[in-house]
Amino acid sequence: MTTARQEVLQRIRAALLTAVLPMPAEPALMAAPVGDTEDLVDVFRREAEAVGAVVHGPVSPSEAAACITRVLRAAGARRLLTWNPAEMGVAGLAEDLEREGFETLDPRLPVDPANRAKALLQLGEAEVGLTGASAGLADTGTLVLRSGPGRPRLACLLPPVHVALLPARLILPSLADFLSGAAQAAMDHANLVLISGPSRTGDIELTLMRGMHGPREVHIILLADSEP
Amino acid sequence: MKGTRVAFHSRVSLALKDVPLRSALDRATTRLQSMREIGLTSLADPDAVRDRARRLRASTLQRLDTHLEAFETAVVARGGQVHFARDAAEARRIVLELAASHNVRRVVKSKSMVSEEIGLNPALEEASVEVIESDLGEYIVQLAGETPSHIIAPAFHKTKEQIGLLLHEKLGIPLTVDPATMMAAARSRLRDVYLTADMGISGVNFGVSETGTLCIVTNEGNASLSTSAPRLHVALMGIERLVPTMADLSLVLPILIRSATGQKLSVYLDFITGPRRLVNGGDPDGPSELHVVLVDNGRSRVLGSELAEILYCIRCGACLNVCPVYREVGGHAYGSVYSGPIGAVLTPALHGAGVGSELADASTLCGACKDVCPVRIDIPRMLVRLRSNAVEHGELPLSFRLGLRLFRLAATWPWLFRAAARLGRIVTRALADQNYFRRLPGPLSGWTAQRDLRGFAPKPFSTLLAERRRKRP
Repeated sequence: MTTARQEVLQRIRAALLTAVLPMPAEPALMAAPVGDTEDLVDVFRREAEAVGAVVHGPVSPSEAAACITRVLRAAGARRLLTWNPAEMGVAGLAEDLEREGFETLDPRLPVDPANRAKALLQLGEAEVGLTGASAGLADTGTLVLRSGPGRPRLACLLPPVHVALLPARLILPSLADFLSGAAQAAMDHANLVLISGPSRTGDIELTLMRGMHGPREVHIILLADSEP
Repeated sequence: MKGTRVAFHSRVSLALKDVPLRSALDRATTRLQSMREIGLTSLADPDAVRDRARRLRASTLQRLDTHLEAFETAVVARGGQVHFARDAAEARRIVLELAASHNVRRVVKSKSMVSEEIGLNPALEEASVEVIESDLGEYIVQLAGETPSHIIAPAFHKTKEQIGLLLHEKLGIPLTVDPATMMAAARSRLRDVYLTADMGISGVNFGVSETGTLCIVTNEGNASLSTSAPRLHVALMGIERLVPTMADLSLVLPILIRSATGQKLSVYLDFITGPRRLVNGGDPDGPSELHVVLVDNGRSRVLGSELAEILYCIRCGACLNVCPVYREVGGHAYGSVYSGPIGAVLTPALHGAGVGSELADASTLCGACKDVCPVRIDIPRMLVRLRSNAVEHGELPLSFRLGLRLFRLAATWPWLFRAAARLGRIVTRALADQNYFRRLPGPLSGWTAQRDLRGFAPKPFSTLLAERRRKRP
């Protein structure tokens, strides 16, 4: 008996013998955007704000922890769904969060269904999700997050407020710059998510509203490499 | 087929009488059209991007078998599982078996046109599996017991008053006309669903054959949540939906998103490669299993047909918004999952055997769909092809066929043509009012219900031409 797989592939091969797939001539190379000498951080800030994110900093390493706790407090955080502080590139962050009295939830979901469901319900209680970012895209004000050990996917999705820490040196010009080198990153991580502003919908009479499923607020704290 | 043609025409008549529907249609399509315009023209060189994207679609389909095999290998290499489905029934069976073997009682779904195409929701419900749509538009449509009317904005045919009443009846919230209150109610209800669902089902905008990655585009974040929180992720994907490399996505993603909503980028772009990883300490969350269902359901047949070009479609919905027919009657009149110009070709193409060919009538052949298509699909050419197929297969009403045969007869015999024209002039002179027929009798009365029919010119073109030649040799 032929399997569905064999049959579908056979059908495709047979179809390709007669397929008419019109194709235009290769167009001339696209002109690169000219005169774009604007600082990537400035572009990133402008575009991220245009899609509704709040951008803080860049803050120097010595100011970072204070800025983070200030943003967390302002967002009404008590319980945090957070990446492992070691994944966020801010020295002493774990101690600061503890000293400030934030409760950090264990983001690891058990594999067995019953305990997984229980853990999920608890994670749903967090007021704020705190994550790092592996890149920023200036042209669209986008954050790039990679899943992995210590980097739960749900931290940027479940809580109503998402606070992301982005080292300013990781800002790339555009989506194309990210995708041209993304093959290995895609294979190495079960999930890459690109986030441009807070969750939104236009499904009721095309009225634009924030906070449909993901967070209604996204704060991006830009981290500078060194003291000014 | 004649029965379906009649059904189609009666759905169109109903839609045309639906005044609130038509004002909603007008508002939404005009808005979406202008957003697309802004989005696409802000690209550095939109025409070159579109040509390149079209080349990419064509060249990928030329080697679809190899790309599919590479994609399958890559998904499996990252721990995912791949299932091929020859048709809708097989695709449904695969999902139902997965649900049964994993003891799934509740499914959360993010938007998938393929799932609509294969009729998945009714099949799951019949098997006592609860299935809940998470895209707000799809959720509204599901609560109302309807189907989506637009690829991008599934519920835009409903007013906020209708949605407020619906949520009041179905969710028991106080009656409201405030969209934000409605959204909050849906958010809180769907939040519970994410956290308690056993399986997440998603569509796929593009599969990347080099890496086995699924690329999913949303603004609400519902695909991210549906594919991260539940313990199982099942992705439904048409076999034509591949791009060779991650880098190729930088060609198709921007034009998809800009053509659909005018945004530079959607709020969320997910790249999913395999299930939750368990090595090196392991991922803290994500699904334990990822199943990709590759659905043929007529696509391989379309690939070998004169309609193959329709497989270039990236489902942006731009052709719906500009279509003078869609703008008047909306998506439901088409009676198919895929509506508008793209649906008028895709529906008969996927079904084959003349099913849905009456939808090819739903066009003025104005070419607006071809003009806005981000990959420049020649939809009018295929609509004409479908119409001539329908004539050849005798699917048209007798009167129509008789009329065409009469015309052919006249057009092939010059003396007959001239005689008929003379008769026409005599009738015009006798019955027309200033060379216009204001009202035609009997079965022809429909033509003059909204407009006048122009009569025959007093002097035929052939005479004018002959006179002109005589004057200026």
